Amino acid sequence: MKVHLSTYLSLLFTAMICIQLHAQKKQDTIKSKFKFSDLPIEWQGFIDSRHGPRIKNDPYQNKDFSLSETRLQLQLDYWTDISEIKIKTDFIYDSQQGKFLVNLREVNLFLTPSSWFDFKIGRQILTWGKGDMLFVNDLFPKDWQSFFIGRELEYLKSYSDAVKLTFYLPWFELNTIYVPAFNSDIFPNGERLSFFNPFQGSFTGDKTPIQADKPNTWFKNSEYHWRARKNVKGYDLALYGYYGYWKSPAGVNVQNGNVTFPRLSVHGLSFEGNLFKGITSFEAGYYKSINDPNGKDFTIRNSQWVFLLGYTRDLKNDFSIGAQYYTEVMTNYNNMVNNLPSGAAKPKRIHDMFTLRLTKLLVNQKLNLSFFGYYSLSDSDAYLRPNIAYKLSDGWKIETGGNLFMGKQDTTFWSQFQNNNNIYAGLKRSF
Amino acid sequence: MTFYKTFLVLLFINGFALQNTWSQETDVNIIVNKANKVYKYSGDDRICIVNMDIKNNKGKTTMNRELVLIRKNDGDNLKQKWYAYFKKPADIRKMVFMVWKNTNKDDDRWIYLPAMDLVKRLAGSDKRSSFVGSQFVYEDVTGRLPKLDTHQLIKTSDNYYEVKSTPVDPSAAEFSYFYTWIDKETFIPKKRVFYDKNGEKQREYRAGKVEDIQGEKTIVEFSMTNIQTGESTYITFSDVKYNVGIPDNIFTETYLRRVPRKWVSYNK
Repeated sequence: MKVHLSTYLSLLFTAMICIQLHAQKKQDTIKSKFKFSDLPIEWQGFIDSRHGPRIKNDPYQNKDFSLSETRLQLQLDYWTDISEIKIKTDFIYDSQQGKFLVNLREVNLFLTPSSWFDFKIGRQILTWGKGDMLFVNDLFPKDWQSFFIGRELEYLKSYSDAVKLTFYLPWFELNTIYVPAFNSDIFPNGERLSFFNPFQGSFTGDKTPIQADKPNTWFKNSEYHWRARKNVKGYDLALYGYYGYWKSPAGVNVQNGNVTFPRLSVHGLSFEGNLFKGITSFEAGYYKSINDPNGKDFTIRNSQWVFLLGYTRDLKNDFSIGAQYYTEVMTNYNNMVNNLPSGAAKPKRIHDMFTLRLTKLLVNQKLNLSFFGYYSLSDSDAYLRPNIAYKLSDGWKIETGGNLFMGKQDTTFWSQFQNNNNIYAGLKRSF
Repeated sequence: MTFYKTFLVLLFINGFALQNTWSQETDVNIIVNKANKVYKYSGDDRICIVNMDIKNNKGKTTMNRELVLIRKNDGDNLKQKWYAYFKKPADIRKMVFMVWKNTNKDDDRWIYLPAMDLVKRLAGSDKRSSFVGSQFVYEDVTGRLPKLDTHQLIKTSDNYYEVKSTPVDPSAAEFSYFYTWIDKETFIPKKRVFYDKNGEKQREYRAGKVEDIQGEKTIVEFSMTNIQTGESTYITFSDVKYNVGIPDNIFTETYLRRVPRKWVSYNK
């Protein structure tokens, strides 16, 4: 079962009309003079054109550019005291692929009927957790491809078709999210970005992009997310839960060689607060690989603990610094190693990394110099993201940056993307 | 014996002088505290539309910001909660900035970026950096706590108390001291000049139009000029309303996502 855009839109417009009628009935007097700006409607958007060539020729890709596109984003909001409707769509001319695309990023109805309850249904962007470009308990879909080729940061978050219910209970806030059909990450599959495919023992590029067996039947392959959150004297505390599938490929179908998304549950917690003159955060999660509970199946990703420790601090003169330590520890490592086919490379039990963020604002905060870097201790590889953005005015922004992967071995996580090293530049007009 | 008498007289004079200094200090602190209350704490709560013109050194507006600013006092102490919802410019429209102003520890600050549904905490330690690219720093907006400075009454003229304030911790400020001209009648700070570490004029704040709104003297037009660069920022407040009954729960992470339309669109 697939829900089409037209279904979404007609449902939303029906809701809009009902709410409007209800609101008008409540109004005692109707203003005689009509003004469009008085309507509870707001629209906004931007045009963004950005292009990013690879630094070196990638033998596994036909095209020199990993990014070349111009997009128009339009957003329409309509609201009353107890409801809000949002439609956000991107119209893209993708010159890298040579085609027009329409990407509906958000269409949702948000109802806030009472102070103890609210409800959001439709396509929406969802985020929680405490990581900075690292995610422990945020199991909402990420678009890693956009992230690696130099699209704007907002595109790292992909959308979910979901229902979100929030209850404001006396002691805490409870968020529950139901996603009827699993939404996976958008991961490098070879089409734009090449990577090392361990099951083939070679690089995969745009000639032979990998195929995925994605569980996507509505109401059958569902995801469930929940969070209980509380602020205690300025400190944010939260517990999280997830039941669904690994968001990026974490298995392989040995019959056809397609990648798979095995079952996954995650339970975790987080803390964040003003400590040591900065923001200190901690997050942990236990990833249970349900289809391989003992870790004996080497074709399915092992269960693991994930820990994240973060600290950010504002130094003087619009300079800020942030650092994180992130680690994944396999819990059934020995079982996996003992069941590996003979001759197969033994993965490490612990996978960890440091991140560093530096941000400096200059020229009345119009010039933004930023650097974000991942460095993995266990893999000895790195991913660096320098960026320079300048606001020419309130409406115009120019930007340039790079996505630089490095490492000694072809097989490690960041290092495998080295052929995709790119620089990009963009011009954006917001309105 | 004469010595003893002289000693007693000296002791008395000294004591009197000491008491005099003490009362003068108390006076200046009373003035500063009262001005602080009038300036940043009037009403139990307040909501207004802020329009901000950021001008270059030729006086031309290069950037404009518009936001809904909601503020609520925490009883009689100096703690406050602030909620700012941005309407302009387009690239930060619908962004929310929230502050819990604390008196004994760093402020708690949050920012909400709707495009990513991202709630981000900001470190509250640096209150001396520019507020959204203007000549105002964060602390100019939410108010600098009087206890952070030692105050000295320099002059009392017909209309103003002229007060010099010097930071208790000089390393925590980019200025070395500032002078404030406080209206004797209304206790409104009409002018404030910051001096840099070399004793040169750095920034100048001026209060323009003052209106009586619901019995509260309110500065509705004011500016900050960077004397050294010539750049300036002009702020006007409109649709100012006091004591509208802003609920406490507005100032929580919940309402960063669930924008309180009733308040954010209160002037529609």
